[in-house]
Formats: sequence, structure tokens, C-alpha cells
Amino acid sequence: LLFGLAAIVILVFVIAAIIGAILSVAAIIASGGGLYGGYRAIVNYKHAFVSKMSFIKTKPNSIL
Amino acid sequence: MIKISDEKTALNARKSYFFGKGQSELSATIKDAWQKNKSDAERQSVKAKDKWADGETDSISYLIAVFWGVGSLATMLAGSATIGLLATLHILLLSIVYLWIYLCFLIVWFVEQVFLFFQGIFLICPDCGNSMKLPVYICPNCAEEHDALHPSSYGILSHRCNCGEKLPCTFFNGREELEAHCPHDNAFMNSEIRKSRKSVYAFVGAVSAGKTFLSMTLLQAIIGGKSKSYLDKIKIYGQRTKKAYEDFDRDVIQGTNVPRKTTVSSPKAMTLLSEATSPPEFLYFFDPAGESFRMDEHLKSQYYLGGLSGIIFVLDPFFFSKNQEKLATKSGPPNGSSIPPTSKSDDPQEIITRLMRGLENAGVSDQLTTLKIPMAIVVSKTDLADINNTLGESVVHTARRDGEPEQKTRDGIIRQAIIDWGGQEFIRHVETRCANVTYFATSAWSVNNNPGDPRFLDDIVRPFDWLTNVRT
Repeated sequence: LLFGLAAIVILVFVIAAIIGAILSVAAIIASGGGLYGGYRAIVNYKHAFVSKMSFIKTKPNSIL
Repeated sequence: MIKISDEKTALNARKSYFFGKGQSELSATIKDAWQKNKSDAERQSVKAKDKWADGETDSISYLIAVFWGVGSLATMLAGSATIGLLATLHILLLSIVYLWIYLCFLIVWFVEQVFLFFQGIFLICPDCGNSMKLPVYICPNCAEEHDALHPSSYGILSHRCNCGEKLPCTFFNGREELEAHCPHDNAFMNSEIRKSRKSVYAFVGAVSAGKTFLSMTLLQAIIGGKSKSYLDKIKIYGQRTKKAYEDFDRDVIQGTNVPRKTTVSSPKAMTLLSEATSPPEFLYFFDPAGESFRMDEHLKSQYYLGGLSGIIFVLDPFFFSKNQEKLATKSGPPNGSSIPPTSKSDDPQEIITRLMRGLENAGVSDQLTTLKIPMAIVVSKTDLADINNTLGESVVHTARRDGEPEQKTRDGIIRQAIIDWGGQEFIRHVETRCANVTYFATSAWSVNNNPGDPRFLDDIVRPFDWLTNVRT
């Protein structure tokens, strides 16, 4: 009985460890992907901003 | 929100970056960033698909395919969220600048309007009599017209003409130094007129009531220093008024003629400039033909009615049959002078009714309220048929009780005389519709053929002085 209980506990720990590992990897992938996606978006927005906002290149009409 | 017309300026001036181009560029930036992000995600997705296909021969390709697949998904989800955040920040920043500029030009516009109101500076064309918020300004570089040169989305302190010329757009920074013309009749409006206070007076009355004679002798009295309100530094302004006055002086004061009959129903103003105040003041006198008051239709072209400071109603005592009979038995009017009106349409009561309708149409008053513009009722031709003996100054002085204001005595005597002549309905009508009425009697002419006699000038200028005092 004792061995049986010990085996179940170990099994639970192993399953938990596997789930934890999977979740960690998923979290790492997700955060990495998120950071990458965010980075790409910032790069894309910067390019769009520089190419579309004309006052970056020329002085806008006087506002005063 | 204040709606200020920008129609012609929209064609001829460049809109502020933040009100025009800035907004379209913001939208283009967001669209472009979104498109680039989408292309990124699609490219990664294609790579993932290609690598997945390669997985059959090279198992490591599955891992790379998963990497690009996750990358594509992340670019789509996290990228879109980031672009949304960046776009929100961009919109927010642009809105802050937009609102700041909007607030600035509203404040400048409001301060300008308050300043002009308290200075009594408003615009009325001396040629057509139309009031206007702004004239049409001319670009000194390309002669392009700008009809909304005020603080707006085209600029707070200056607009930029399409030719590149910077045009000041407030009263304070040189806008009035630009050339400008009236938007209604294109008459040139010089800088001096635009920067001055205005007082606008009209002579109203029947045909041959004596309006022109009275108006010209009033000019003579004012520039002669007879007016208590304008003792000095007042002069005739403009070639038109100068010529009209010189003609009057030559033909009537120095000569023996009577003034020419006014035939223009939409008169141009005679202008005086008083430099005694700061800013200087322009006095406009409109003297339309008596025929203008015969029909409502004719009054529609009396555009000056919308900007009046005071009305001089010239009442011909010889409209009333009692005085006509008296005139027939006494010596008649000097050769060539006014013929007493007989037409029903020249009935002073009818004229007042039509004038009121004209003022209602001009937006000055309405049927339910009394007219606030002061009105001086001036009985003319008092030197004929012993009218002076009924309501002249000698009668006023004799009748005046101690302590009683002179004008009160004068009002009582003249009012009673008009009632006695049969003008009770006229009096009732005037006093019901006008909040500020006073009575005067004068003669710009003398039976001794002595027009412009200094003795008469005091009487002539009295109604004008009353109008200027009531107004201020």
C-alpha cells in the first residue's frame, strides 16, 4: 500500500512536472512570439510613420 | 462649436497641417502599418508552410515550420495589438495638438471680437450700406481674394495664400493693412475705414420733406464746429462727400439754387471723419430719395438699415392739410423749393410703418419689441406759414418752466403741434413702436433766401447732438 501510494505521488509529481515544463515552454514561446510580434509591429509602424507623415521630411504649413 | 465660413479661403489658402494633411496622413500611417504587419504575418506563414512541406525529407524542418508558424501567429495577434496601441497614441497626440490649435484660434477670435465690439468698430460699406463681418481681402502678392481671413483652421495669426504669401488674419497683427473690398458691391474699403468706429445715421421722410437740405446743412454745421459732440478734429472724408458738399456750397450756400432732388433710392453715404477719439470715428449719413419710403419693395435695397446708430425722421408740416391751407394764405415757398407732398403714400404714419417693416426685414427689430435705435422727429420748413410761431425756439423759451429740461418743453410743444395738425395717429404709432423718440423743429432754409445762416445751424445740429448723446 505504501509503495502504491508513493508511486501515485511520484506519478502526480511527474505529470505536474511535465505539464509545468510544457506550460513553461508555451509561455516562453508565447512571450517570445509576443515580443517578436510587438517588435515587428513597432518596426512596421515606424516605417509607415516615416514614409507617410510628410512633416518628417518637410516643414508643415505654419500653424500660427 | 462656432461655425465660421471658410468657403473662399478654402480655395485660396492652405489649411493648417493638423486640420487637413495631418489627419489624412494619420489615417494613411495606420493603414500602411497594418498592411506591413499583415504582409509580415503572411510571409512568415508561407515560410512555415514551405518548411512543413520540407519536413518529409528533413525532420528539423518541422521545428522551423513551427517556429515560423508561431511567429506568424504572434505577428498577427501581438502585432495587431501593438499597432492598435501605437495608433491610439498617435491619434491622441494629434488630437491634443488639434484641440490646442482649435482652442488657440477660438481664444484669439473671441478676444478680437470683444475688442472690436467695445471699440465700436464694425464694418459697413459706405457705398452700398451693407454690414459685413469681414471684407474680402486681397493677397498683395498674387491678388487672390480671401473672404474669411480670421483665426481658423487655416491659421491662428496668419493664413498662407496658395501663392505662399503669409497673410495676417487678426485685427491686431496687420490684417487691416491689406487691401480689401466690400463682398456685396466690390467697393474698395480702405484701411482707415476698417480700423475706425462707425456711427450710421439715416434721413427718413417723404418726398420733398427737406431731407437733403437738412443733411447738407447738418454737415455744414458739424464741420463748422456747431455740434457739441464733435467740436473739433472733424472733417469731410472722401471725394464723393467732398464734391457733394462743394456743389451744395457753390449752388445753395453761395448761390441761390435749392439742392438737387435726390433720385437715388439706394444712396451712398456721405462720410465725415472725427479724429478726436481713438480709434477715429467715421460718421455715415445716408440720404435716400423720399420715393424709397413709398413701397416696402424699395426699402429692401436700403441695406444701411441693418447698421443704423440713429434715425432723423424729417416730418414735412405741409403734409397736413391745416398747414397747407395756412401756406396758401401766407407767402408760399421760395421759388423752386419743395412742393408739399399730397400722395397718401407720403403719409408720415405710412412711412413709419414701412420703415419699421424695413427694419424688421433687416433684422434690427421685430413686431413684438420696440425699436431701440433712437429716432429724432424733426419738423422741417418751420420758417414757412408761421410754423415757427407755433413750435419755434422762442416758443420753447417762453413756455419753459424753471427747472424743466429744455428738451422736455420742446418735446411737449412740438408733439402737441403735430397732434393739432391731425398727426395724432402718427405720434401714437411712433411712440408705440420706438423706445427712444424726441421731437425737434428746424428749417434748413430761410424765406429770406439765406440758407446756411448760422442762426439756423444750432437748430439743425440739435437733433444730431441728441442722437449722439443717446447712443453713447
